[in-house]
Amino acid sequence: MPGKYLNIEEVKTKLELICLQYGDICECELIQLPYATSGEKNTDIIKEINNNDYYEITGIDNDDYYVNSGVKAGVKDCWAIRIKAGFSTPRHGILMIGGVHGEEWGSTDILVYFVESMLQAYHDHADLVLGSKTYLAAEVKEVLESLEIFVVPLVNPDGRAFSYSEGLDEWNRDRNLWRKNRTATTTPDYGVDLNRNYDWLFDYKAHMHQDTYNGNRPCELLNGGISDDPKEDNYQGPSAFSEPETRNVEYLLNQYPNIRFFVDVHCATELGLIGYPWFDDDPQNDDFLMDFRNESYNEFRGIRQKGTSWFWCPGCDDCASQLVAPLYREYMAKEDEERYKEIGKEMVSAIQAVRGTVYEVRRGNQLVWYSEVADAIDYAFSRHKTSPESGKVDALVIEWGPYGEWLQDWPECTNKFQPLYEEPPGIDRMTPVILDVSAGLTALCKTALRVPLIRLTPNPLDFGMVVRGGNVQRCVSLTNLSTQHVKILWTKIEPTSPAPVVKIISANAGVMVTPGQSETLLVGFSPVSDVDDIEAQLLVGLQYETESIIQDVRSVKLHGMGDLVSAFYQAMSFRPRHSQDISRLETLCHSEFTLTIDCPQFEALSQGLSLSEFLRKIRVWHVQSLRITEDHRSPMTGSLITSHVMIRIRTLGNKEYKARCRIRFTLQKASGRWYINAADIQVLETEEI
Amino acid sequence: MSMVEIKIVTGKSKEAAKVLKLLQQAHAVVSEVKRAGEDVKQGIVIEAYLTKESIGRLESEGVAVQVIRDLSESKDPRTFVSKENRFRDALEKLRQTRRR
Repeated sequence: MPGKYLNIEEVKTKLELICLQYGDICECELIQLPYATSGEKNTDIIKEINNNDYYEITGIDNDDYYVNSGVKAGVKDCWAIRIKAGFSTPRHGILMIGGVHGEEWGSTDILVYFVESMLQAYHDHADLVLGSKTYLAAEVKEVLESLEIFVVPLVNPDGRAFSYSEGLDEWNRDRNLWRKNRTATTTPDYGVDLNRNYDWLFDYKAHMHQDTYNGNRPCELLNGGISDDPKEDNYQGPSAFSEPETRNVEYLLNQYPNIRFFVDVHCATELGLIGYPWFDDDPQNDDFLMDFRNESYNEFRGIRQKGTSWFWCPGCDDCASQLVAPLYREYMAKEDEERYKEIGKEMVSAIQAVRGTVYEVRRGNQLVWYSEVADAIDYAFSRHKTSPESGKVDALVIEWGPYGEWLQDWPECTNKFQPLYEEPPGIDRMTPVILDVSAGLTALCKTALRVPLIRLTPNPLDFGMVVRGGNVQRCVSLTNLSTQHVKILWTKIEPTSPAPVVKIISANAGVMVTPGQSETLLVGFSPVSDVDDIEAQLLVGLQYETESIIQDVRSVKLHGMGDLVSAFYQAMSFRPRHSQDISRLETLCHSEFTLTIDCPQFEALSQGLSLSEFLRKIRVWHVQSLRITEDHRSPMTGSLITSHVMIRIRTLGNKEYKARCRIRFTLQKASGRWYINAADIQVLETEEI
Repeated sequence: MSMVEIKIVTGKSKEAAKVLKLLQQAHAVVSEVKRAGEDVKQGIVIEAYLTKESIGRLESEGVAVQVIRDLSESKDPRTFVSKENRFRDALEKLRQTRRR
């Protein structure tokens, strides 16, 4: 245990040292991340350097000042370490990041210690002893030989360097409380809150109810979580991934698709917390249409009904009394939420075993008193929903803290972010925290071992044209890449768009898949209502034969074009041919899609109508025949569905028309059935090319 | 400009929101917001770090501020940061060993 916080240079040196020390017994790779930080350069940093007795300018090149060991001041490289022992392949990856907020010094030290202690135990064939918690040597071996661990201990080197430096920030505060990075945003303001710079509901003024940020509803207080004002500590930046530090995290998630778990280590002040998505609103497990991708809920997201705000209620009389309908809650599959709780519980148990510290597992929007968006873990978990090619990443945040009343327990600490960390005989309040969190991280690794390592192919699965009453069957191959038997608990199809009633043709429950073997799952669609597009997920519940259950759900995206679109084409005598880059109609609900139609007789068919009028005419025809069943609408409020479509019509002689449209459906019940009561199709722009 | 740690006990959420806005304008670092009791009606406790100068502005808005401590009287946390590269020699030594 070092006994002092690592300085910037030490972080890299320590990682290099670890790679050299343990490179003989396992793969230890130091990865230079592709984006160097863009913090302040030159004069400001030179003043800092001059005030620091441990930095020394050693050279100047192209206005970049180099300090000790060739590290550029203000333009720093970021580093990750990749660890993998043994030869088994493939394996799950775990990405751990820390040092995101400049003032939370301990997170970096925790991650470096975690890496070193795991490798040292592995090297020595020794147990990993963390206070009163011991992981056996065999457990350490299994973790390192079964997983690939990626650690970025210092995401934000500029913020940390600034926080280490003497003097005041732009707002006359002691620099040691600096949170953001050091990007020069608008003079004289510096910095972006990196944990508000990810591409998840980034444009919060478009995605959230205005009362969440304009102060009209004091109970919502999204403003406590994010800001578009560069002067604020939680300034989100000009655009998602505007910052090199967040692009580095995105790079790792893209570059290593085996990453199945993601953990972001932060410092809360008083409580130790483990959080899981979502952060924008209360969760629900029933209405899959009510999720962050559905633009129809943009005016409603983030507002809670009186009595449901976990922090302010019960007891608060200040909530606006009227209910804002529909009541939005963020969807998460029940199995996903259960798995998060189970993982969190095991982490809590491991942490408690170290010295008795009790952490709490909370969902994102109950982690702290405010809601937030554009954060790392929501982004990481949302990826499998926004891009079909991304695998699922279970994402958690650890908020370490001293617990209980700070002043009572740690009266000698200067502030709540930087516990005393002195070498003996001084006071060391950081080492116990390092041991706590390392135990939690090890527990996460152990839990990851129990998550089945399987591959489902093909993914996505395209059903092509599906008509009402017809059955289309396809095969999905499930390959067991783990070393233990995997039991299929159940399979089901869950529509992810305003889908038809589908009857699944599948009888796979109870099938045992032996290691290295594949099993074929027969999947069938049988739509029993009119639809114009099908998007669904094949969900497979899995369990290891010899371990306790971790409910897990793997999904295959299913696409199909229903008979409504088919009828639409037939009525118009069109023969559809999708554009080359969009091979299918995307879900009505969540995406913008392009439809290219070869229609040599367009002018004749349209009978002199403008393109805009023509599209409206089509809409009137096809919307009236769409019927929705109870099962596929929101159980709480009824569903609004918004879709964007770019329609391109090519006529004889390669004449081309383009129209960008927005379609908004409103569902209503009549005679015991749900219908599309209104469809507002707005042609946003048309163009004749 | 020295920093202080403060504690503000507010009433219900409307008042808390107003105080949080004032703290935001003062560029305070809010470290904790918690209920004073099980019920929010018992009040909300806000803890924050800010400059001494900002206290006057808060008080002029009618906010009762309790100063918990003056941070200039506490240890400077920068003294807990390593001032040298403690691993440089070990790294260099190991590199040389490997070269041989």
